[in-house]
This record gives sequence, C-alpha cells and structure tokens, in this order.
Amino acid sequence: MRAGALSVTAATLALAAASGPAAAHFQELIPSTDIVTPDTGATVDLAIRFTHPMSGGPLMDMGTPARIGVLAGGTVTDLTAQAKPVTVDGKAAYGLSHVLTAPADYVYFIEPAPYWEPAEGKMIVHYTKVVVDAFDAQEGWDALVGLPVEIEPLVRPYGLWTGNVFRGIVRKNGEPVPFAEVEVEWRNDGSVTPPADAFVTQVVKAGPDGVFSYAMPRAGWWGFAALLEADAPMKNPAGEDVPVEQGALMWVRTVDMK
Amino acid sequence: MIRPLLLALALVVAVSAPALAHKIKVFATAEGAVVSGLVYFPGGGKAVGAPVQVLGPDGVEIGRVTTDDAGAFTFEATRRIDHTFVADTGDGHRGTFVVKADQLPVSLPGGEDAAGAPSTAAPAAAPAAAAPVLDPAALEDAVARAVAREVNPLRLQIEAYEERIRLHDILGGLGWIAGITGLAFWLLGRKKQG
Repeated sequence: MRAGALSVTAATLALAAASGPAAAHFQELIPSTDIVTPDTGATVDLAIRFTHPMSGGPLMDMGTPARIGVLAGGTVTDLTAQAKPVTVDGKAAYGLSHVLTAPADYVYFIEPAPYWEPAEGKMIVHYTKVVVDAFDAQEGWDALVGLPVEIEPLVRPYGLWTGNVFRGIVRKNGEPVPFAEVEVEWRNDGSVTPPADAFVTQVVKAGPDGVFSYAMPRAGWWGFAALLEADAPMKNPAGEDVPVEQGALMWVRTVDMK
Repeated sequence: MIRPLLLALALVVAVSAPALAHKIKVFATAEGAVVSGLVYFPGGGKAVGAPVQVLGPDGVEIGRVTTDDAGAFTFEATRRIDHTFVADTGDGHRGTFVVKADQLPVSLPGGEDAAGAPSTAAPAAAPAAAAPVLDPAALEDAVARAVAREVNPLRLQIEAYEERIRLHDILGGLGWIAGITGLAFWLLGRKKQG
C-alpha cells in the first residue's frame, strides 16, 4: 500500500515535470553576484535563460537576442556580440562575462528574440534588467535604460534582506501604467515545493500611479514581470498576425539576516 | 551679532554633512605601471583633494598622492609588489584598496628584496630584466607568458562554468529516470489491482 502511494507520488512528479507550461514564462538574467567587491573579483558572469523559475524549468530555446547591454555612469555599452550561446538541459541559452573597470552601478539589460508560444497564441518579448553594484558606488541603480516597457525600481535593487519589500513603477514608452499586472516568481533551487499551483506565480497589481510592491519571503533571486500587450501585432512563424506579450522584467536578490 | 555667527556655523555643518554621513571608498586599477584610482563616497560624490597614502606589502609608505577635482589620482609603480592605497579624510573615515603585484608589469623589479633596501635594489635589477627582451626568442617567450597570464583566469572560469552545466544535465536526467520509473510502477500496480 505504502509502495503504491509512493509510486503515485513519483508518477505525479513526472507528470508535473512534463506539464511545466502551466507556470509563467520568465526571461532570466542572473549575474554571478549582484555586489562586486575586491573579494568577488571584477568579473561578472551572467546566465541568460528563458524558463519557469519557480518550477525549476523546463527551459525554452532562446533565439539570438536582439540586444544585450549595460548602462553605467549614464553610458550604454552594447554587449550583444560578447554573449556566447550555451546549451542548458538541451536548450539554447546564453552566457556573458563582463569585467567591471570602475565603481558604478551596472544596469544590465536584454531584449530577447521574440518567442512564439503556440499554447497562448502569442509572441513573447521579455525586456529584462538586473543591477550589479560595483565597489560600493551605490549610485545609478534607478537609471532608466529607455526600453519600450521597463520597471523603474523605487527600492535600491541590491543589498536586500529576506522579507524586504520591493517596489517599482511599471512604465510603457516612459509613462506609468495604471493597474498593471505584475507576476512574481522565486528562482527555485529545488528546496520549495509549492502546495498548490496558485503559489507558483504570485500576482500583484500596480496602483493608479503604476507603482507595485511585494514583500519577498525567502532568500534568493526574485523575478518581477509586468506583462503588457504591445500596441502592434507581430507575425508568428506561420506568418499570421498575432498579439505580442511585452514583459518588463527585473531581478533582485535577497539574503537572510544572520 | 550672535545670530549670523550661528547661521554661518549651521551652513558649514550642512555643507560638510554628506562626507560625514558616508563611508569613504578607494578603487584603483593598473594599466602598465601606472595605477589610476578614485576616492568616492557610496551613494554618490567624489572626494576632492583627498590625501592618498601608498603602502608596500610591509606597511611602509612608498608614496603619497592627492585626488583632483574629479576625485581621481594616479601613481606610477616602480616595483612589482602589492600596493595598498589608503584614503583618510581625518574624521574617522578610512578607505583602502589593494592593487596586487600580479596586476603590474613583469618588467618591474619584484618585491623579494623589498624588506632590505628597496630603493637601491631596484635599479640594479632593472637592466638585467630589460636586456634579454632584445633577443627574439626571449621576446617570443615573454609574449607567450604575457598571453598565458591574461588567458589563464578566463580558461579557469570557462572550465568551472562547463562543470556546472554538466552537473545540471546529470541531475535533470536522474529526475526524468526517477519520474518515468515511478510512472511505470504505478501503471503496473494498477493493472494488478484491476
């Protein structure tokens, strides 16, 4: 009887692994550290993947990113050519190594290739950001890259304790988006099994001023995805005009207080 | 009479407040033998006209520079040793940054004899290091060494990265095996009951 129950659990797990698409899509842009010091060394390695963070996968193939760059000290440096394709779990992802040469806050961003999601009948483009502070500059973390859709952080996005609240303004073409819906996922390291599907993706809505907030209950990387519909449709691989999900994403890391 | 004085005092305090509120930080990089650095406050602001002390590995002062209007300074290294740059604004705030010996050119004399007589040992070692560069074979050797020095850390990084990915793949595969085996057992068990 007990063996039977175990088998059922295993089978359920297998099914859950196969039915990943129920979870939200998130473009990941995860640096090896969000705080660079003389101890960490000046090189930041970025892992760039398209996946379901809370479910721990599966990954989806990424096309060649349209643009990857970093904003620091008011200047944007294009890093698109430096990104290297890598294969993770058999899927196309990207990696990038960047050496930081001066104290500043580095706002990394990516505009990935549009992804065709047949299950939802739409193209997905997730404009994603993450901020790395180098050598305690602590200046420039709220600078806007100027992406079509973008989260403007209202909380310094590094050096955050577990339990801190993250707040930001959802912007589209520079303007705040009232009542924008923001999906939140924790990048699961395998230590958390959500008791029900509703726990996988947390959903918060912005107020009339486009400002949202969320308290992060666990240490690790948290992804915030404001999902908006683009003004113009896009052609899917079959050549049909389909709607486009434009995501404004931002990643922040929390650390336990101890 | 007293009121303007108080006002002036208040102004002075207000102007110098940001420096007091912040820790002071130093950052420096070496390009060739020239070390360029910056003295700044976390959260914004550069330390203008701040004295920076340069210390050798033994803690002995080897130089002194002052930051310019942009909080920047330069220092030319004469020996291939660890350089510690110390900025002290005198109000209890002190920032340090170490430029390691291996960031400085190999053509500079090393620090083995630093403990003894640093300044007299340096010129003696310099001609010996410079002479063989004229020989093409030695030059090739020197270039190879320089390339290796730059590339080695990158190579190690790539290796570490590949190692991580491999572990990921294995764990993922194990998960699938366990899941499918479980499914098979479950189906078999159901058949028996039915």
